[in-house]
Amino acid sequence: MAYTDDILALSPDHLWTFNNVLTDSVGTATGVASGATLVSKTDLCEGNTFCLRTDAIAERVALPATTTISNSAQTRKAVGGWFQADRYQSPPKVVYAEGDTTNSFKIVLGWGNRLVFELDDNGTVFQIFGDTILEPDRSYHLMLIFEGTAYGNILRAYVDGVEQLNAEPTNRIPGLTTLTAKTTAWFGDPAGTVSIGGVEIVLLAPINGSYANWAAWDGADAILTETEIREELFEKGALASTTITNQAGLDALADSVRPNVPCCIRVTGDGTINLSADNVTFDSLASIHVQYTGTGTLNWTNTNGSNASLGSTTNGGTLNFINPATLTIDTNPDILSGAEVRIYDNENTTDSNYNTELDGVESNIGSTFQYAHSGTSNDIIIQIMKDGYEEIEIPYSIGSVDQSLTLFPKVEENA
Amino acid sequence: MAAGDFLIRRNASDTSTLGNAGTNLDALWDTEEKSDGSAASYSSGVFTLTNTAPYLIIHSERFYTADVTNNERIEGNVRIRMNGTDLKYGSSEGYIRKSSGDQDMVLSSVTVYNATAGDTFVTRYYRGDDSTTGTVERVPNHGGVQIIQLDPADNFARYTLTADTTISSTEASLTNWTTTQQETGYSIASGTVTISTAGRYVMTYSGPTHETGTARLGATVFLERGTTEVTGLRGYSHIRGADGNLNGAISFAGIVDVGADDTFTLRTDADSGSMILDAGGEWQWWKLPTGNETAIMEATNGNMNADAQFAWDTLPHIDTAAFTATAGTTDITVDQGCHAIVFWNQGKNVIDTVQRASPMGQVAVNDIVSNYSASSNYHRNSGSIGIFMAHGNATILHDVVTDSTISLKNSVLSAIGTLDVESGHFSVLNLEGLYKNYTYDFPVVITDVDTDEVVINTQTNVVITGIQFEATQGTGKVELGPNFDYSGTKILQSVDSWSDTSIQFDVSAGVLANTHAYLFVTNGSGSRGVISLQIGLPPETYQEAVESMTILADHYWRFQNSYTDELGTATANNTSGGTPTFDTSVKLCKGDTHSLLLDATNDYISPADQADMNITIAANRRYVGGWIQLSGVSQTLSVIWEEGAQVNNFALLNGFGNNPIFQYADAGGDYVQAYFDIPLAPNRPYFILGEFNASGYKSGICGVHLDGIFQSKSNGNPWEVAAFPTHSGNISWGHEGVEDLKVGDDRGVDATIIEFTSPVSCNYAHWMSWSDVTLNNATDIRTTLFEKGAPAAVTILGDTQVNMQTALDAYADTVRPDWPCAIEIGICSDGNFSLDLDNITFNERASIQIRYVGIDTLTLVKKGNTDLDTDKLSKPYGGVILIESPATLTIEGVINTAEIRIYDDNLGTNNYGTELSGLESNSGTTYQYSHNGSVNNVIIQMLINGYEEEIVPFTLGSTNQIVTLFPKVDNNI
Repeated sequence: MAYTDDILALSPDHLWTFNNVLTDSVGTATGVASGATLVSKTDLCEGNTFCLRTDAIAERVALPATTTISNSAQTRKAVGGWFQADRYQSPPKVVYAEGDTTNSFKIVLGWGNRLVFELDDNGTVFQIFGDTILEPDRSYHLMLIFEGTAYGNILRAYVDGVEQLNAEPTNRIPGLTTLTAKTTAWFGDPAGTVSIGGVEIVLLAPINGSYANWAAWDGADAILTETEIREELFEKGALASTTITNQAGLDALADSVRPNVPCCIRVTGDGTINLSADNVTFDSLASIHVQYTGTGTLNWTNTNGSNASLGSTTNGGTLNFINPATLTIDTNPDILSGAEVRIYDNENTTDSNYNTELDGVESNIGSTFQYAHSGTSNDIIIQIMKDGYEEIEIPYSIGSVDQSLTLFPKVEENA
Repeated sequence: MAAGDFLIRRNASDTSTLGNAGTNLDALWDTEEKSDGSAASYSSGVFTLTNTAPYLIIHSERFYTADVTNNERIEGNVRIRMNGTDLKYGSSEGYIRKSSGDQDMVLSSVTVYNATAGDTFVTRYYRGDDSTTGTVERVPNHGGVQIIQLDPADNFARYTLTADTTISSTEASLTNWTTTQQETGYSIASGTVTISTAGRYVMTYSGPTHETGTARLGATVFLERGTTEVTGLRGYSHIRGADGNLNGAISFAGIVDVGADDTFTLRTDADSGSMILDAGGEWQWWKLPTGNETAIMEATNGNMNADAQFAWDTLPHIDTAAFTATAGTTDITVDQGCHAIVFWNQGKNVIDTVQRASPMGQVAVNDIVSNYSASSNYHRNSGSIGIFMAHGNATILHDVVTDSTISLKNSVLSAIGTLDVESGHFSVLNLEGLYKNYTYDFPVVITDVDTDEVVINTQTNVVITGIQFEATQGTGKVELGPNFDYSGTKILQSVDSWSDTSIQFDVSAGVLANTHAYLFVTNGSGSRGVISLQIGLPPETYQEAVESMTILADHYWRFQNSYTDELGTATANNTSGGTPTFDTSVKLCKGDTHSLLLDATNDYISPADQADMNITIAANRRYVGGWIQLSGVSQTLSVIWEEGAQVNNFALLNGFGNNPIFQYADAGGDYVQAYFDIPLAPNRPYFILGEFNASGYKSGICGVHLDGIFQSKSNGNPWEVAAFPTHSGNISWGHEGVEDLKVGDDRGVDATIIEFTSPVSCNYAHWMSWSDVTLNNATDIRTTLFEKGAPAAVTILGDTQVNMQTALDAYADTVRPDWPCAIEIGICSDGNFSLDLDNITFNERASIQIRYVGIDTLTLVKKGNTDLDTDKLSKPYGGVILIESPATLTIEGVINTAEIRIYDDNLGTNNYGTELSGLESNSGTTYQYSHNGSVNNVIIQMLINGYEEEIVPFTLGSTNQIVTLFPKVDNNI
């Protein structure tokens, strides 16, 4: 299923793919370019080989006055899509905006590529601030939703499907039944006057700003759920920086830090796939660590410092993150070299608790014994036998973190 | 025999006007820098040469015009007027093109004069231009006259130009010389001088130039050995015949390492046109006496038009008993204290595009520039010139302490831009023993008092370290005084011991107790050094801390119910708008009573334009900032601070959820935005300091400090041009509505003019500005400017340890909030002391967790979940903070009622050392032993009837640990 179909499944009133067209794929609000151009670009989001580009401060694409965009007293509305800038913007820039100085609905970028999502309605101003700066040349999915008092009475903003909560006023409650109608809507440089915080200010077009798959909703369809925003609009559109199909592919990424991108690793294939990551870590700002596009089950084991935790499944499959742990046993004095070591599952049955043997060795090599397990909490029994020493039999509980245990063997006086 | 006697006079305060053409200025040199011997004297502008002997005469002076009302040209000339007649040699010129940023000129020359006893001279300055607008004034602390008598027994040669000689753009040799003096070892033929004896020689050339037309001419004279230029020995004259500027001069000098029978020629070249080298100029050679010690460095690259010390590429000669130097570096190090003569020259012969540049050179000792000698020249790349340029001079350095460094410091007097040195020379001659052995007045230098310049009244055995104290005290003394300049009543201190580099004394502060004061050491020869220090506790107000910084701010506005500039004259509310007020409810800084409040979009205050902030100055470094507090999260974009406006500006701009930027915008040069790592929380004071560095300073990295921490993100670094230009828009706190601000980078066509508002609302206090200096991030910015002023949310007042612990316990089990300083700990009357922090944790954004204002040792004992970050522990007055992290060993598997013992494992024969903990009969199945977190080997013993004795060796660590015992039934009972 193409990404645009995923968007269309959410019933937008308008969709501008900018995939070498300015047309509205759903409605009739075809964009009118002023300086902005359609250019070849494949690294913005899934499905697009072109995007809309603003590469000078006075460029825009204007949308015609349309009731389901802004030219009516809307009770609910949503707008969002993919955006990328190739540098830090010097003066503040408009990503998307509707309206004028006193009534507006917009996404603004500035002061080190920070985002402000803003709603102005006749002197009442609501702002939501992005939690992160937009890194140059990194794609982001941006979303702004208004719900009037008859509905959620909330202003919501999302970056890569994650709700942004830092706002002024902090409660994000507009208290507005409807929004004042606005005749203008555009991407890039405003044609008229605009404001930030209700104060008129000059805003410009992003340099270089890239846009793809922007959509607008009006009415009931605009109340998108968090799942729809994260999984349908963001995760299904996110491009992966690396795609693998098997362990060999993952081994090639061993000892690496995956970068700040929308999706770090995509795993394809059906059935059950077991992968073990060897010291594969992720930039803290990456939005998806592992995306599984198959219909089966992907068991992803983090080993040797790997820390994958943000998963995505786009095709009904299951993704399990497994974080194994290790129990390290040593003795004082050291008797482990040559000792027999057994680890049993302590199932607390009526027998002597020596049930399933989980691990063990007839003659241990070295002064420690390590038992690697799945990280699931469990009761075990440790048994150590060595000539000249009393047998050690110790019940022990293992958990999700690495543990170490020192045992104190005694010389067998009755030998 | 008075060879080696010298006299240095300088201009310390005279700002006399160099009048219009036809008016002579016979300069006064108001201050004697140094006099050794009687071979020369001075009175009322007249120098008298006592003996019949050769004298080396060096002079320089800087002039400045503030007038930029038109673009006229100024031509300055100087002559040594000997016995009422101007000498041709020893002359110099300077040139100013007003209203083009070129408002300074430096005139300098070096020459040898053969005196008859009683000869007198003045330095006569005059102008040749026809400009009558504005004034041209002397600039103190740049110029002087330096005279040293040489020995007539030395070998000299002097050749005088017999006729005016045209310098064309075809390189040629000067040949029309007449021999004025030629002693053993020299000969001349067809303009070529042959020197038969190897050695080091000082060579000078000086003489006037002129033209008769109106062309822009640039001509050079340089020294060749055989057919190769002697690197760095090159002079230059610039003349623009228009506006009556018809005269110039060329002067250059340096030390030449001559081989036997080397031949030398003076060569000429010019960009174009026909400049005339006047008859009467002299080419002079002075063979340095046997045993001379010199170092010669040369350069064939490097930028002379930068505010930086110049690095020299090669080291063709050095006498290592006297000097140390390394090719590729800036310094020559003096290995034995001495007097010395330094020569320098920076020449170019490849075209550079910078217009109207005037680089200046000054010799620096230990990075402190001389205030009596300088050089400069004018470079113009237009009208068929721009290839050649050179400037240089010499100076006598007196009382140079052993291990001092000598370097050449360049600075930019007018246009910014690179002028590459293709031919540079830097040499030094040790005067000690050359003609005589000198008695020195090496200055006392104090480097430390009690290592941190913090003492308390009655403190004993305080150690002062430094140099030149002299081996014995003699009449030397240690004093405390209230003022840096030795004024006010001093208090004599009791000295315990005295050596050349160390003095021990007992503090007796008297009325200076609990103040910021100055310590003076005067040695037995009368030389005195000074260092600032703090006596007693509490140590000082924030104002005292700011005003006692080694690098003083140019301006300091405290805003304590006053707009006064404490360190300058820029009253903050020269103009204002709206209703700025002083607020007593918000105090931003420790000890404050007020803050400035701007609480409307049209509120602002603005001082007059400042030459060290927004106008005139082409700054290579700036710091500006202070304490602020915002009352909320601003929805609008606002100006917290700005200098400049729609073209060039510095600005601190708020917006985007209180995520401000510090902007450095030079429309024609470069653009940097510096970001803050965190948003500013409302109603929380912050110390913000913007830092600008031009290319060549701290790698050109510009940024902003928040609470003394340099913030990590910026865009546009490094700054790639040599300075930040003048930016004439107003300086203001808040935004003056009529002056919209440019935001963005003009070069990338990504800029616009924005009409900002003032912040609503913002409180300000203790705002400061520095120019052309570098502050230390740790000591100046973090410790002094932030840590000493940070307001504390909680203060544990000084008391006994017990009482202070009680006070601190009130905050047990609490999270201390986001604040500049979470907890301040006062001075304990018990001296060194220890305080437990009982489960006290800190908001991660608190900038200081604990500030200890004492000078003793405070041990902080972490208990519970107390978290301390060593980077957030402050001891700005020299105290020591130690952290103890107690840990607990939990012994599990204990048989109820068992006897438990924990022994220190002394690793002896039985290992049972001191019993550290224990219980005759433990209740329950666990036993806990709390210790101080030190790593230690212990033995755990458990005894109970029916079980075998457990003896477990164990190593304690800094974290909580668990050991499990597995007792066994005793089957041998």
